[in-house]
Amino acid sequence: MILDLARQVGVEIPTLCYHPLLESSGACRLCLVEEGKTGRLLTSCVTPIADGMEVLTHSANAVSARRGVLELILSDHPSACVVCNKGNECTLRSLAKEHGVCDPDMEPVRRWRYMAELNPFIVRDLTKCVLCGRCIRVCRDFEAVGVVEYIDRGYSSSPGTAHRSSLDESDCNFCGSCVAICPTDALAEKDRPSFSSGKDRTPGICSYCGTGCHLEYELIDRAVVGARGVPGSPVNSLSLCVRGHYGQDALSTAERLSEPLIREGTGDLREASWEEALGGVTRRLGQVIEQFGPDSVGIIVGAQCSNEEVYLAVRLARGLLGTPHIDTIARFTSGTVADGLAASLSRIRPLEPFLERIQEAETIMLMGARPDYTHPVVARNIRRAVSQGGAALVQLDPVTTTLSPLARIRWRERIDELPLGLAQLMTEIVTGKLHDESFVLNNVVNGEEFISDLRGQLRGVPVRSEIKQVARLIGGGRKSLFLFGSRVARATQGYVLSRLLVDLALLCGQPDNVLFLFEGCNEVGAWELGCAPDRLPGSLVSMDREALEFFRTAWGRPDIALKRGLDAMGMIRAAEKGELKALLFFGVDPLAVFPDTERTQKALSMPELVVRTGMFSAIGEETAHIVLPIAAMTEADGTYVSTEGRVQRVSKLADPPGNARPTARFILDLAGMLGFPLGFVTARDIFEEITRTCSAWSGLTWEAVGKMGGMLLGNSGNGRGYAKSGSVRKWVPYSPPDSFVAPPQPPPDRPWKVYPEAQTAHPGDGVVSGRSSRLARFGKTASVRMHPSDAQRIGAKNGTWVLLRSEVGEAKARVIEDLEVPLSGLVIPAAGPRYIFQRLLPWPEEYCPPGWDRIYVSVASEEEE
Amino acid sequence: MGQELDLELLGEILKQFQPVRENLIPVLQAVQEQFGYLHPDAVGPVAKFMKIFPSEVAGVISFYSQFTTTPRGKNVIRVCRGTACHVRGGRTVYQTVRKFTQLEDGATSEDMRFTFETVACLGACALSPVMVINKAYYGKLNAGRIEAVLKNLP
Repeated sequence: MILDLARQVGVEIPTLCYHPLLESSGACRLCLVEEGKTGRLLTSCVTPIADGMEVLTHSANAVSARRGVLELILSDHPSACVVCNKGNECTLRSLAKEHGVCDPDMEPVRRWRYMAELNPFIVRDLTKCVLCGRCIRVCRDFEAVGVVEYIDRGYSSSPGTAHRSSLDESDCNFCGSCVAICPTDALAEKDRPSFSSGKDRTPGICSYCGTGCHLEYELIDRAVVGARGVPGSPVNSLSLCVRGHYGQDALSTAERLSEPLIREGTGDLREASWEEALGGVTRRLGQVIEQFGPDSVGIIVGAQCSNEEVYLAVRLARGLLGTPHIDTIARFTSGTVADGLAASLSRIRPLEPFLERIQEAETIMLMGARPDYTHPVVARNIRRAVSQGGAALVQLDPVTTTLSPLARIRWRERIDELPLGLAQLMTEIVTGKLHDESFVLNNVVNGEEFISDLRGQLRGVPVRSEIKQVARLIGGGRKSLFLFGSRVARATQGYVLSRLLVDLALLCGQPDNVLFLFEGCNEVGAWELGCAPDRLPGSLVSMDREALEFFRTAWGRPDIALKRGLDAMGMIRAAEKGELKALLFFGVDPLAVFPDTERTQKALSMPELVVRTGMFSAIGEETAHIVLPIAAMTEADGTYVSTEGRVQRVSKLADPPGNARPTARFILDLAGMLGFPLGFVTARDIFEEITRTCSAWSGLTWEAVGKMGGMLLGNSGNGRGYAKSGSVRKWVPYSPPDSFVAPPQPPPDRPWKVYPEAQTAHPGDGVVSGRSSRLARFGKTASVRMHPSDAQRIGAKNGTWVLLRSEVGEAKARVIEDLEVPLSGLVIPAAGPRYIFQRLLPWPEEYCPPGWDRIYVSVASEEEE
Repeated sequence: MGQELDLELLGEILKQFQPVRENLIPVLQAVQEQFGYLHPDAVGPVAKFMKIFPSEVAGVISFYSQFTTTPRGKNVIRVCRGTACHVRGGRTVYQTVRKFTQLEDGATSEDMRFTFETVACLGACALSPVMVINKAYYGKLNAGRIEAVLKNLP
């Protein structure tokens, strides 16, 4: 196009409807240029360059035509720029300034249209709309949601939804891309924490989920007031989701903890200085260790802690305090899967960028995941792959999601019934010769046996035609991607399923095409840095003597023990029994995560010392003796690993409130006061030690991970941090057993099966999102979704209160009827302002997660007459 | 209004077409032909069949005046407001029809017998003043002839 060439050679042509990421439509006519030979005016954004063409971009004719176009646009545009929220961000206003057009001498055809929106995110004031169609194109082509289109024609035309409904009633997911791309104030962010546009823009990444979206934070006086996507990021390009665009106000809310709090005896918490708080932690921790030994201390690390903080926490536990009891809270959301992936692949993330490959996939298999809620930007990639790239989506999930209408094949088996289906699928692939034989023979341990086992397996079991269909869709050398999510990780069969899914990928010769959607923003980092009771940094498997010797030398602590500690759930259990005397929570709000709220709360009242660091006051009752205010991701330097293994750095760009401090500083100060100064001054020092001690991190540099898109983690050697040998690796297949145990029947008195489900507005534990004024409007009332015929059976309907009772607790919730929920199933929010799921969930028997797919409850209608 | 859409019948109509973009208008015309109007509930199934977004279907429906989203009477009377008809007594035609049907421009009678519309030009100026009832043209009209025609409508 003429415009592209002009921009390449540095000739500026004004544009309004043009956007480099969208297909041009030539709607605004502002980019008119003159053809030199004919004098014709051409819209440069949609006119291809032709042989012998002569283009005059700034001839008197062209300039005056563009001015005329601008005058026409401005003639019916409200001229009250002073009171417009878009302010200096308005493209139309800056164009008017450049062209010296202010109040055109034309009688305006006023189109007063104001559309009040009930949603908390977007305001539409179509009076200010210039009909450029950017919102329409970004929604249809970029987000592949297609909620808005030009409606009506002529003067009355405007961007609108299918039935002229409000956005709330449409399929809009409030990603906010239309607002970000609107050149005027026709689409604006509702209830911004600050009305003026940010004075500073600083790049960073979003802390809400594991996608690791790159964005620009808007700041006023070193406080975050907003965020926007920027073109160019390999993770998300321009897209953000509702949390990225509208949830960042949680970072600068007045609810943030700003001073350390201390409890004396059984009294209330009172504000204290850091010196006093640190002194208190040191003294009481020292007492506990002296009296009960180091094994009486446990540390649980949050999924939002940076790599540097996780590494320090592990070093604090193993290398300083000498306790093996350290775990990441990701145990609950991804523990089974991290173990499964590590056993098969020796890593938990691909070695190639994954998210950008989604759009080139031919088949996408989505198992037990709903990225439309947990990772909206990943869901966008899937939508685009299907609706624009023609990819086939195979969905394995009992619950219908917004992606279901796109699925070519759906299996609605319960998650605990899936192992059999996957085994049959593999057998089908092998018998149909759709597998990659040479890959398996060369790269899989006992590959020959793996294939022949599959060939002989499950003979005689009838295979459904669907399975044959899926086999043809994913095998035979097609570009297939395998994504799975928290519904798998939280299932009893999570470990088995993740290994079977890897087997499937191995069979197709595509080990780098498997991705688990980690929900926390640094779950991958926590696992990779050995934040687990049996590991050391850089390793995803239990430590051995070799690893131990390495870290004994590296950390100068010859007494690190080869000992398996307790996992997160085990620590709470030990606290209940009075065996664990001190518990440290780094960025974890226990009652937002741990099952059986009541029992957990009691257990937490047992230890002599409970220390909690966090950005906010506790969900439920505060059980900690010392509470320390910590910095948010944007308020300290640190690196994070996204779900696809991208290490990205955030620089401190805002100031923490009051006396809040980075977690890393707290751990370093504590180490110093315990008499073991670690010698780190900056986060960079810690990062550089990680690159020396963990092989997957070697080769990463502080500078490179700070660039847009960061760097991918490398190979973890043989799953051991210290192993730097480049030995040929082979993958270990799981080899499914010949038969699978059928899931147990629900108990007769609790016949309802629970499907915990992540919420778009409240990702992860929902602790941060619950403080965002706009996101917090979702989930205020506890609600459960059930099939209308089930609702009818118990005499409930939309809005009826029901009482849910599990073996450990009860909770009240409102019914939402939903045809897509399986019969006798209850879809319950996994986290969120009410935390009903946590109240219903029993403690697991041995190892967490507790098989959250086997929770049964009773439901009784509670409607008072 | 308030009528249920016969989804089965809709499916039958859709089956006669290839789901390619350029068929959207013919599809909508066929649906409107069958049901007399485009029921809002038809937007979703049509979009799904055509593999495009519902908003795109709605955009096309709202763009063209030939499409209507409200039920129309058995007899759709279109009276010409064009220049040629106007100078030859188009106003009388308008007033006569309006008086007879007791309808405002664009309205449909409660018994669903009539829908009354005006159009800018029917392209039959030689016959002016003109009206069209469903697909039949009536030219060189006068008040008496109009009433005779309208009375005989089913």
